[in-house]
Amino acid sequence: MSAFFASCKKEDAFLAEKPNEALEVPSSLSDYQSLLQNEGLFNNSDPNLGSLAAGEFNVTSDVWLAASTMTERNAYIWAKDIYQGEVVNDWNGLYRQVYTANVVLDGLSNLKIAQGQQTLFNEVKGTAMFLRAIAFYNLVQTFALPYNKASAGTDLGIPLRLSSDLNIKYQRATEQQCYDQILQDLKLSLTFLPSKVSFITRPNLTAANALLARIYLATGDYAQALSYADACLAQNGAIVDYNTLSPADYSLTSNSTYLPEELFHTDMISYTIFSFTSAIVDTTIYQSYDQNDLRKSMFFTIYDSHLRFKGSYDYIQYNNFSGLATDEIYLVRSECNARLGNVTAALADLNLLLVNRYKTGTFVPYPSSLTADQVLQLVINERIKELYYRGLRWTDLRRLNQDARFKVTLTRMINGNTYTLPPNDPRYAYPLPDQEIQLNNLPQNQR
Amino acid sequence: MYKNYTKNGCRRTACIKKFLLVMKITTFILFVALMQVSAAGIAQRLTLVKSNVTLKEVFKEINKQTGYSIYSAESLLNSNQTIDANFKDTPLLEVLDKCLVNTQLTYTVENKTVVIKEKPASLLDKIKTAFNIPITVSGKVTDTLGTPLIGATVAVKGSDKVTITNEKGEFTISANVGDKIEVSFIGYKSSLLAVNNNSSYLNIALHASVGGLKEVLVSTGYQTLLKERATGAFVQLDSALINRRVSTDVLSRLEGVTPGLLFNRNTINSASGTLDINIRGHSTLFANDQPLVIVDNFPYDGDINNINPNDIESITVLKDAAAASIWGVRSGNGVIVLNTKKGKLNQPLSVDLNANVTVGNKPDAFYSPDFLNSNDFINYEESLFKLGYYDQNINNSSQPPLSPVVQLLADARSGKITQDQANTQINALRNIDVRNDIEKYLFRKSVDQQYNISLRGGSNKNTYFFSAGYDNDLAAQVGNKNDRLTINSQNTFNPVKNLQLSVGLNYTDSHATDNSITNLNSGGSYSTIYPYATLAGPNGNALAIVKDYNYAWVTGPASQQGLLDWQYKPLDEIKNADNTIETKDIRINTGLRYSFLKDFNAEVKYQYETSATDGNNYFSQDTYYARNLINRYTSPDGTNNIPVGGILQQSASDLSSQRGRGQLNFQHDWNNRHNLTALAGAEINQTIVSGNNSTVYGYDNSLGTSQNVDFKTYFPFYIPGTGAGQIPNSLGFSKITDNYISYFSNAAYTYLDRYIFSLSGRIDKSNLFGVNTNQKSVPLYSTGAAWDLSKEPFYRLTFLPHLKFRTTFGYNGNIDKNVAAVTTIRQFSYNYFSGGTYDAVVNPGNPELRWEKDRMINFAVDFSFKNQVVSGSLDYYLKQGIDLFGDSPLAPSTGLTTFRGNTADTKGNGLDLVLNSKNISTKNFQWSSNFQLSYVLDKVTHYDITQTTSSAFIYGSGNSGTILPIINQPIFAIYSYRWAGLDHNTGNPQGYLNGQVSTDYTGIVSGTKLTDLVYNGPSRPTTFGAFRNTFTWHSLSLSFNVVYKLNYYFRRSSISYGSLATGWAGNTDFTKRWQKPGDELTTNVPSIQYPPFSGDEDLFYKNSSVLVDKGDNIRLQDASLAYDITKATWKGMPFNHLQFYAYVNNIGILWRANHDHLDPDLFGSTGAYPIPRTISFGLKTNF
Repeated sequence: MSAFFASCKKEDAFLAEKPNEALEVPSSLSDYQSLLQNEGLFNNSDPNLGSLAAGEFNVTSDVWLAASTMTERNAYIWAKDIYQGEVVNDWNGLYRQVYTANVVLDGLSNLKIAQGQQTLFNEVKGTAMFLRAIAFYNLVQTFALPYNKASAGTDLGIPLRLSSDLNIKYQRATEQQCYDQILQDLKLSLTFLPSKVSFITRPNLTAANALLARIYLATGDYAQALSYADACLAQNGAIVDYNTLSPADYSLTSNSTYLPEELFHTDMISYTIFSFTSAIVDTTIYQSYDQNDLRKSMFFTIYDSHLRFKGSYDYIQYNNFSGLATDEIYLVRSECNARLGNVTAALADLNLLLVNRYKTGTFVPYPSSLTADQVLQLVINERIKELYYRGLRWTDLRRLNQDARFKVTLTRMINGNTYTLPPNDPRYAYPLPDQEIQLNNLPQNQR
Repeated sequence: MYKNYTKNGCRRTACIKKFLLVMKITTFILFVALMQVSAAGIAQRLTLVKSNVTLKEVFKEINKQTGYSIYSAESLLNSNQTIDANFKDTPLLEVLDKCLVNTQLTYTVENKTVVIKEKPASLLDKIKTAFNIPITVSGKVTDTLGTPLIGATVAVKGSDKVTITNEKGEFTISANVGDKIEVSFIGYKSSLLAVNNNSSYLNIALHASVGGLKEVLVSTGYQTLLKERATGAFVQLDSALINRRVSTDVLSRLEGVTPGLLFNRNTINSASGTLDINIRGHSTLFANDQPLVIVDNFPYDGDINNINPNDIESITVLKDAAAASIWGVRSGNGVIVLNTKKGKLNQPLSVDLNANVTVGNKPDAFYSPDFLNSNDFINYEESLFKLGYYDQNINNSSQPPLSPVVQLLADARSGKITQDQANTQINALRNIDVRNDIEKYLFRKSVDQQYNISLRGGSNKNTYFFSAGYDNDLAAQVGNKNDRLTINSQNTFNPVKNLQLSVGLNYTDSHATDNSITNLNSGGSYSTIYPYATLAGPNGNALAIVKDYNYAWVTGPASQQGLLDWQYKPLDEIKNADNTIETKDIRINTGLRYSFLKDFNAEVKYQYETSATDGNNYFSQDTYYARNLINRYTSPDGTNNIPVGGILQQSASDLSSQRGRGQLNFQHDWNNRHNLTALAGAEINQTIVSGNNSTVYGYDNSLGTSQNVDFKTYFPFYIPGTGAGQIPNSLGFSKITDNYISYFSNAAYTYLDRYIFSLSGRIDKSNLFGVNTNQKSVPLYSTGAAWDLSKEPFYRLTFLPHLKFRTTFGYNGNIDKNVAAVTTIRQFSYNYFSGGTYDAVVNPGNPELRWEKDRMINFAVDFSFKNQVVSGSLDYYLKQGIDLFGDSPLAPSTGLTTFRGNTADTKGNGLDLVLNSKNISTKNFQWSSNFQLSYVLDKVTHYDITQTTSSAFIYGSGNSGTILPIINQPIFAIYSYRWAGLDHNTGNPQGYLNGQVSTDYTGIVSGTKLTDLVYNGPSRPTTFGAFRNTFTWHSLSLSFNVVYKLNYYFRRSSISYGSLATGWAGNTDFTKRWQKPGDELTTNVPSIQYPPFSGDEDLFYKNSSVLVDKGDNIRLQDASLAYDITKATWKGMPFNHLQFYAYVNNIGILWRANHDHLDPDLFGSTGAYPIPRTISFGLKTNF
């Protein structure tokens, strides 16, 4: 035994033994890869606060009163104070994603790449950068004001945590810094990500191009958005003909597979007042669908004598899909082309989408005689109908309200009170969580 | 009696030499005072000029000036002999000669010891004795606990033969047959033995003299020390106290006899059979809160129930820092040290037998207030039926269970039967009480048998102990039984002088069968059973109850669809169940001890333990579990996705531990003036626990074959609309490794037997923290001092002959194994979408992590009145939990919202009082009492997270497993909503909202702040103790123990109409409910409610202050009666000792503060019952 004590090295090895075999100190590429494959974390926590306020759904006063959290109630009526001390899952979940991505990125920077592992290393690194970027983007959409090129250099963004060290404090970066970081990470991820992945919950090159298109559209950089949409659709332009779907009572299809349209699968976190049995589809939107539009019957159903939404692309877990799919990217490309005056190109995408959404033989393609502005109007309307409850309406409201042509004032009636949200209202940015303000001493959004 | 009248010193240089050696070894700087020892030095000359001095005074002076010890039989110096001393630098021998010149005394000098004795017999006497052939008598002198007494005087009476026992307590002396040998030692009664032809080796045990020193040895697992010389708070339980109780396990024998130690009986852990002990309160929030249990010098890793209490010789409980800090980071909750029995050197074979049988009452099925009689229950069901409450469950295609009454009502409504028929059948049910059947068929009297045999003895070179024990327990729950075989052997060998080798082997093999039904319920939303259920027909045949599905459907349509019988008959289930657990535990101890340089010995100890637990839960095709699962997973087309056959669930857990220790001990006594004991050593421990579980289907018990099933696919359940699921699979593996390396040291210095200083320290390193953190490890240490005031020369209080003060200060440690210093991830199965595996961060790295520390300061006084009429001790302590693991909030943008680190602090104080009294002490009748009082309260002083009102109720009092730390409040506490009585008009419960009486339950539930809640008080006893009386009349002794627990609160259950409707959760309060205005003056039970139920109203009432009761109670815990027969009382008896005993446990509550006749020592779950009374009969014999 004394020989044992004499040997410091042996002692260290003895004390370094793993206390619980189930636990591991992350150290290998496969550890890092596995950390990023936590689908409950990365693919099931997209924010939903924006949708609560985006006007796609209404709820009855009873449902509103019975909401399980104050956050839901307040968000629904665009109250100034939202959380009243409650935990903000939208924020926490996204920063948990950022933390995990940072653990991986920090770990990778100290990792010696073994021979033959460069491909895997690239995939893991690209994935971590993509996941951190999309988390930051989702945070900015919810907790910072809409992007405005003129004021982005001073508008407050979010804390850009770039390290897994819990002790480092980060202040709120400017919006410009946020978008710069997001775009830089994403573009870098293009050099690492593989073109094919084993499962739809893991990002690939196409997904990164799609996300870049989505983000450039949100910032109003239509040329860039167009170019990334092109890149994306060149890699995967699949579009599903809804005539081939066999809808079930409560879902879009009775097949339990992912549609070929999907590029990267994520869901929004759920709020009870927007559950299937509580949320009522906005009648105006419902009525905007043509009778021959398959989406009208496939997306919506009557349950408990109210119109309900059953059109989510998530057939496995029945959650609300908010991921990337080609239908969105076709609409991005169409909008960019319309805005840039390429009417023919814009209509090609719009018609392609709609011919796959209408009963076979009933869709009459839009003629190329339409003006660019008319096409743009069509595309914007089509976004509301095609991308219903995909978590995108909130961002669209934020960006489109800056254009007088598309300004919308949202109105809600609850318990006899009427609430309104005028365009460009400061309430288009959610407040930061109360805990964040207290513990990190960050400036709060003025609402 | 021989006495050492003097104290001797040693040469200064020798002292310093040894002292330096000690320093080298222990690296402790001890007390510089030692340097000043015997400044006078040793001159073998005496200077004393004084007339009329007694010999005693001269001898004292000799000791003072020369350092020589002088021993003499007390009787020799009794005469007030005086001399006129006129010595001036006179040589010692000359002085002695002059002193003894006119006496019948002479002396011998040996090794600085002078022995005064009678002058040799005359020549005539010598001739007389010469006819006897002298024999050599050797032996060993010990105290009653077997500890060698070093330096005891052994003399052959009436001769000049005197010797002193060596460091092992052994002596050799020559004597003639018929001589008497007198053995004496300070503080003990002398013993006189006649020498006969069998007297070649004598084992002489001396009893402590009355009013003198009480010889108590305490064991820390690293050393054994005289309690007299200890500074810390030890509780020693001797063999008699341990054996006072009859039980299968050992630790329960501590209950009610150990001051400061509380068995929590009202917690979820104790309710589920897990040990829940606190020593001096609660010292942690989230880390392990159970004391460390040491068996034979090492922590015991196995199940403590493997230890046979008959093999335990003594138990020491270490309570304060000085006592426990030698155990370092595992000592924070106190330490319980068990020492098993061993053989003794030079002891003839001694055989002990113990056999007993314990019979326990049937559990009281009628105790629980969570029951509503059938008549009221049926009336309520009828009302709900009229309201259409059950309509959604009647004719529901998912076939939810319906109670028989609701089924009859539905059948009458649909015209299947007439209303009269329904009423007749319903009325027949009104008088049924399912508890009669439960008591008759599910419970029985428990019968526990215990047999134990042990052999022990030893020659002069080895000792041996061997025991075999067998326990067979038939539990009170029909279907449950346990048996246990224990074999234990302990041997020591002394192959050469100064070397001792010890080998111990313990083997336990136990089997448990767990076939009982513990929770009779109907499934679905019903967590219990309707009160009018019957389990057996008139001739005892098993009857079916409603279970999981609509019974009419099960017995009707379902039975014609090719499925297995879907009925549930509880009594058949007990018969068909086959759930067994076997545990084998082997523990091997080896030790080597080498003594050298007189004062030193070096020890190496090694222990290996392996324990394997195998569980096999076999569900034959006849069991409901198998039939139900097979049916559920049958496809609508009739395909069986689970093969028809048996199901076997297996679980295996393997423990293996290795522990090694090297230790150097030092002990030296300088002239009975300075005594130093010290030890230092290092230790290495490794414990690995691995486990695995599996389930196989289509299992054929006779062939041992099984069939493969598809664990991956989600199969839609047979009944449409009840969802889909994968076939249950318990497959899992686990492996936990605990590594420790520790360095420890300890020293105690005693000066003049009355000033004692102690110092102890330990450093632990563990794999829990990772290497880097260990490098910064902080030693946990303690220090203590004691002063025996009664030994001071100036002490004059003859009525209080013993008075000692002790104080200690130090730190113990603790650890939460769920946190780590490095970032750890864990693999999880079943990824959300893809179904594969993934990893998640489970523990963010925290390089700052460190051990939890518990600081304790102890002040104590030990005292004894004359003749020990009253003796006892009082300990007062202050404790502080520092760096406890706590949760602190993090800004969520870090990715985490809370972080577990060393962020919490607690503070507590308490006292332990022990009083022993000898009320009557005559030759034939003795009455003695023991009174114990303990108080302790721990409060949270620092915690970073602010709790919410709802969490105060979700986590409750902390007794259900999760502590809710609130600053400046006790760790365990009960809070409630303020109660404003029942509303006069409606009988609705009323609370307060914003200071106003209110029935806005939603407002109360959401608007009451934590600070607005009523703090009722602690939820665990803060004052507790026992009062034990023992009566002895001739050979008959009777002892009974009254235990009390005071100053705590509990939340009792009451009726919740919502739970009654949805889950059949009844409560006797239903019958006391408000029924008309004015009732609110006599009852607090709200008026009846019908759907829709208000969850908030239930929540408010359930957690209102009116349902909080005071837990205080006093109970007669047990009584024991023993009748002893010894050779002295019955000469012809073939045994040395024979004892018949009877023991009654859990006798009953004498007083309780609550008026609801509830036992507060129960964790309040439905169906709980007080521990039944047991009675034991047994006999013990020794030959």
